[in-house]
This record gives sequence, C-alpha cells and structure tokens, in this order.
Amino acid sequence: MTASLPVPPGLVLIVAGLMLPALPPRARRAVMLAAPLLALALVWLVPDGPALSLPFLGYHLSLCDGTAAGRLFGTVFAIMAFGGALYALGQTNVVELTAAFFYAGSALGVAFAGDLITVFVFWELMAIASTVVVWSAGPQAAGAGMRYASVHLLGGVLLMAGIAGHIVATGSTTFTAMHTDSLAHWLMIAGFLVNTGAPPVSAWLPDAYPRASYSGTVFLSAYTTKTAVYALLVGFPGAEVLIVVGLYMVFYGIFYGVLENDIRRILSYSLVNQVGFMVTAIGIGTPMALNGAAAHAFTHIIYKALLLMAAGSVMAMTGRSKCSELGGLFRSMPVTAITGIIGGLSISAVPLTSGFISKAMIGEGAAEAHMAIVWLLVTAGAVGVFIDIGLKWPWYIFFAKDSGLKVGDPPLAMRAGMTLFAFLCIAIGLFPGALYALLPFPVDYTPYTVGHVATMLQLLLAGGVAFVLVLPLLKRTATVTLDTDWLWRTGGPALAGALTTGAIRARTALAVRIRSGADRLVRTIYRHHGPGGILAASWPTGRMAFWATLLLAAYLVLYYFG
Amino acid sequence: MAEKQPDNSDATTQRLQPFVVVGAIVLLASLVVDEVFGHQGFFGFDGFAGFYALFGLLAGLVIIALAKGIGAALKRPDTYYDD
Repeated sequence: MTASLPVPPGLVLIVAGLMLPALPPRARRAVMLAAPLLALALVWLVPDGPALSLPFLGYHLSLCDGTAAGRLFGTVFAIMAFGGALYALGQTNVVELTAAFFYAGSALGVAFAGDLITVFVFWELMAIASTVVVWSAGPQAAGAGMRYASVHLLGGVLLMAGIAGHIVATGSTTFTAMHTDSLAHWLMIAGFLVNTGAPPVSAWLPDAYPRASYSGTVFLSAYTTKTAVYALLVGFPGAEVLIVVGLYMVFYGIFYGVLENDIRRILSYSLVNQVGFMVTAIGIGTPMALNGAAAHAFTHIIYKALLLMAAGSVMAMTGRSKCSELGGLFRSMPVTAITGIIGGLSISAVPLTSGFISKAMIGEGAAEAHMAIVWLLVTAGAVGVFIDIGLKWPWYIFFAKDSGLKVGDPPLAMRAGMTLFAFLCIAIGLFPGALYALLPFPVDYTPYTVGHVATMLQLLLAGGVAFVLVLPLLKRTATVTLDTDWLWRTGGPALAGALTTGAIRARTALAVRIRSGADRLVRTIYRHHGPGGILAASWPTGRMAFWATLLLAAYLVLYYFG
Repeated sequence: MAEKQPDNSDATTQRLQPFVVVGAIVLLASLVVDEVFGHQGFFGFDGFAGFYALFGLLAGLVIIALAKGIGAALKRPDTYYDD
C-alpha cells in the first residue's frame, strides 16, 4: 500500500475561491458551504511532521507540516470559513467572496507551513486578498484599503528582512521557536506584531475593518490577527517583550473602545484588546499560558465573528452603524440581539461561555508564573472588556433609548450564521474538554470550580456596578478619537504640504536673489566695459606714451636697486 | 424611521432595572459562595473573600475615568477625517 500525498487544506479554499466567479448562484452557494467542510476534513488528514515538500531556489518549501498548534488553528480557520460563508450566502459581490476564500486559504497555508519561506508567501497572499476584501465594499473603503495595504507592506518588508537575515545566519528555513537575540529575529517579531495590531500601528485595524462590507468584516476579523498569533506562538514563545506589547494592546483596545461610537469600530478596538491577551500569554511562555493563548484564539475567532455578524446585521437592516443613532432593537431584531449578547457574554468570559474556559487559562498562566502585576492587569482587562463589549455595546444597540427603528432580523442565511456561532460559544463553554484536547500542550486544568466561577462572577458584576454608576458619563457622542493614524492621515500630509510650500518659497527667494545679483553684475560689466565704460574706451596716444614711459622708468629703478 | 424622541434618564433607569436586580442578586450570591467555600488567592493580597468584587469595582471605575481622560484630549467630531 502506498501512502498518498496530503492535500494542503488551504489549497481547497483558494481553488474554491477562484471558481466562485464562474459558477451560477446556486452552485456558488453550494461550493461556498462545501469547500470549508472539505478543508476541515483535510485539516484532520494532515499527518504529523512535514508531508509535502517542493524545491525552490535551492531550498525546500514544506507546504503541509502537521503540528498540534497548526491543526488547532487550521480547525478554527476552517470552521470560521464555513460560518462566514453561511452568513455571506446572500452577498452578491463575487469579488469579495473570491478574495475572502483566497484569504482564508492563505491563512490555512500559514498554519501548515513548515518553513519560513512558505510562511512569508502565504503571509503576503493574505495581505493582498484581505486588501481586496476591504476594497470590495466600494469607494468609501478606497482610502482605508490603501492605508491597510501600506501598513501590511511595511510588515511584510520587516518580516522578509528578518527571514532573510535568519536564513543567512543559520542556513535553516525551518519555522521553529526562536529568541529575540539578533536583529533578524527582532525584525521578524516586528513583522508578526504588525499583523496583530500592535503599537505603534494598531490604528490600521479599526481604520480598515469597519470599512469593509457587512460580510467582509466578519472574514477580516478572523485571519490576519490570529495567523499572527499563531506565528508568534510557534516562533517566539516566552519572548518577554510580548508581555509589554500585549498589555498595551489590552488597554488600548478598552480605552478606545469605550470612547468609540461606531458599533463595528468598537468591535475592531476590542479585537486588538483580545489579541493583546493572547500576545501577553505568549510572552509569559509557560505551557499553561501558551495553551491559554491558543485556546483564546480559537474561542475568540468564533465570538468575535459572531459579534461582527450581529453588528453587520444591524447595519444591513437599519443602514446605521453609530450607537448614537441606534437603540431599542431588542424587540424588532430578537435573533440578532440574543446571538449578539451571547457573543458579548463570551468575550467577557462569563461562566458557561467559551471565553470563560479560555481566558481563565491566561490568568492562571500569569498566576502560575508568579507575575502578580501581569495577573492584576489581565484581570482588570477582563473587567474592561465586560464594560465595553458585554454591557455598553449591546446596551446602546438593543436597549437604552428607543430609536424608533422598526426593522426585522436579517435574512435566513445571516440568522443561521449567527445562530451556529452562538451555539458554538455555548457548547465550547459547557464542554471545554474537546477544545482542551486540541491544545499544543497537555491540559491539567479545570475551569469550573466553585471558587473560580464565584470569583469571576464577582469580578464582572462589580465591573457592571461601575458601569451602572457612571452610565450617564458614557453617553454616546458623534466623535472619533485621534490615534497614531493621525500621523499618516493628517499630520504626515500636512507636514509634507508645509515642506513643499517652504521648499517652493525658498526656491523662489533664491531665484530672485540670483537674478538680482546677476543683473547687478551685468550692469557693472556694462558700465565698465560698455560703450561708455572707462575700460572699454580708446585712450589718446599721449596718455598711452605717458603710462608706457612711467612703467619703463619704474622698471629701470627697480632693476638698478635690485 | 426617524428617531422618536431623545433619551431621558427615567426611561433609562426603567430599562436598566431588571438587569440591575438580577446582577445584584448574582453578585451577592457569588460573595456568599466565595465566603462559604473558602476563598483562595494566588498571591496573598487577593486572599480575602470579596477581593474580586472590590477589584472589579475599582478597575471598572479607573478604566472609565482613564478612558474619559483620553477622550477629553483626543476626541474630535466624526467628520474630522474626510475619507
């Protein structure tokens, strides 16, 4: 019996995506649902270790390398593709669907890449495909898409320089754990961090994601950031710099999210916040913390997609996306409200939801590593998430004031997508063992102890008390909060404009001075050498004879005494 | 589909009431359970029942205060960027 070559799971989604434009609507919808399920099956057929190798420029590309972490991320990437496709069945923009499938397939390509060159190739394909997803929303996404592409170009350059340096120094292309011990590795970690939404370029995410279509944002929320989490998990576990960066992201996401008015931008800031928890856990680097990061990536993809599905439904049905223009939709959009609230409870790590059984491992990881300050900040971050997404977000959309909007829930496919993911949030929360069995390290952890459930409820509900106490201060305003993207959206262009104006003025002033100097010179020459000039006039013979005699006499005197 | 009327605090309080009642009951129950089952902390400073409630309240208030501070400095009308 001969072993057959494994099929890279990502390839299925890429091929399916490329087929979509050529298919009639009915067949297109069938492929959209079947391809992710096939990819999911293939994820579980990939054997451990490198299974498919191609020669490339003297190196070997390892296109299908089975690992526990890769299989975990591959599984949730495929589930996400299915849920996203189900939600997007009514999407008529085939370019977006093609790009979304290409994007999901490329993310799967990274999850099963065994070498750094393959990682980089799929990394860049993701950047291109996701930019197309953003642009597919139409002209209003053009600027944001260009900024998104520019930041990812920067990230790609950093990553490529790092990979090249690593290969030159070690001679190896294997994608394995590294340390921040060389410039090449710092460049690589920086390249990975750009895609997580880390500072100082975090703003690319809340700038671009809310500009995509109602369905495009759902896909975008899953792949770029979590592929970067996967890359950091494999490449730089225990890199302490990640703790600092991750904690910054946790609180950046909360502060900006609390201030934000747009319902999808709130979730985008929250995405950075959640990835911050994962990055922090990777920086802690113990098996418990790394398991926590991996488990949280898995649960987060599902509940964040669910939240964005709910937000997309509200936007699609009401035509509005600002908290200040919404409210009271619970009665008219009950499915959206209930599933959205389940997403909000999951992200808040409320017991019996998926977030509870994953975030708990990150806190436990910090405590086990005796990192008291990190533990305090992670715990405070959990309170912030509950206030921002567990309470404020659903409050202003589904309750609060009656906005007078009388709309229904979205079409069946969108409701089905939300219901499926809400079901998964609860199922994973109730039965965490299945997820724990997929984690990269053996799990010896029980989230449901009386003490843990009681203290988590205390923590969150006390945060809820704080929310109720200051609710009048949280009144929504039609504002944006300036971020580092001000530098490239306003500050940079203004500086460039000022420099251009200054350069034009300086050049004009210099030209005037040169011209006036040249005029003076010409006038002087003309005065002395012109028709009336003293140096140009013909001298009388007598005066010439006088000066010649005088010079000869002077010469004789000098000769005589010399 | 225009907005009916501006929000008012009485309506908000009324809508909040059921959530507040349920939340308060669960919070009290969790405090009782924490005390009865013997609270265990990780570091020592968190070793008393009710630590999480106290920390949650303080963290919530500090986070909102800091966010408001950032907002006071950096908030701009949502027409600030023209793209």
